[in-house]
Amino acid sequence: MSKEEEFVQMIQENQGLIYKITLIYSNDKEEQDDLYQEIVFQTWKSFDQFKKASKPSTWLYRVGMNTAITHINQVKKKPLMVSLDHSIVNFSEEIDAEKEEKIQWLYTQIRKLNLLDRGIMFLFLEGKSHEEIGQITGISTSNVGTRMSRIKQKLKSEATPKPTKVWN
Amino acid sequence: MELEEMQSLWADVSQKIEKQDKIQKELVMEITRQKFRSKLNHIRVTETVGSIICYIYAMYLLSKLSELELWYNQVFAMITILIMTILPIASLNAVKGMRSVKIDGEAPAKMLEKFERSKVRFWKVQRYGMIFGALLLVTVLPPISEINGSIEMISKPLFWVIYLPGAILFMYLFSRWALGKYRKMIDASEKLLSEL
Repeated sequence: MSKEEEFVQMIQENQGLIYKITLIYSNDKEEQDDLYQEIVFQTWKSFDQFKKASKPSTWLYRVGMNTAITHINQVKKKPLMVSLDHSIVNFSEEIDAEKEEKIQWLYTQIRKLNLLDRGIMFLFLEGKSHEEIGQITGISTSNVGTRMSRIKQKLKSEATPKPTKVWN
Repeated sequence: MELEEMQSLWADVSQKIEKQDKIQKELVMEITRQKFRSKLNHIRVTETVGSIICYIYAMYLLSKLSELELWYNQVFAMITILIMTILPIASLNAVKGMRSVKIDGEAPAKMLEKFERSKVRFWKVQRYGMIFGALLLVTVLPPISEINGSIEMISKPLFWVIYLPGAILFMYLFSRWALGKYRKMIDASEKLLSEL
């Protein structure tokens, strides 16, 4: 299998993961599309490292989060997005209204967290243990615990208002 | 909403996302190729052109330095040359530092630390750039007037009575604005760093 084929396969297998990272780190649809493209591009750029990585999933989480951390700040004014004929991220399956409302509330609350806490919360929602979160993000397990309780408190202190904007 | 409920909601979202069609191979490679091209085309024109203008002006002033007879104009010209030489280097370096943070499989906490540090440095350079820019506006006029033969104008005490307090007031107001503008951004980055 050629490098290009391996890369495409990896993107296809993990497109959901990339999409979820863009959900957490973007504020609107345009930003989300741009971030998706950027993660694909950065993954291609460092793809040789991926093949050597002992834990490919950890590697991909890291590249996705690292791209989001650096990219979102740099392109606030004008995204460097390429124009494509097709829509890349267009998941629009029907969800019942009440659930949709809760999901939008969840996105809104997560997006209020700082860049690292957003990643921690994302990994927690993905079902990762504190130890795994620590390994991926590079902080100690006890620090993960502390941050998780702080996040929990922040989220609890918020009411459950109706979202102002539904865009995914 | 409890964390467990959030996890269950997220599991629903994940399930729906996983059900979607696979992204086409052609589309993946098209994104990669076009992103690569768009990045190559995105040259930092403003910064490069700004630096070239600064250097041309600094060289011009340097070549005319011996023609300046008034001692304070020589001092002003030297300050102008220094600012116009050092500022673009510092500015380009800070921009380069922020953009060269390499994205790879490094832990996000480390990446965030590197990125925020370079961002703090960038904003600090911007801040001092603004302040030195204001100083430049003060030092640039008198030598240029002498070079252009308008020595009479700057020899009049009235010129200095108006120009100096005006320039100092302008510098004060401008610096206050610049310091305030960037302090917020630096503080936000430093707060994030202290929490890491």
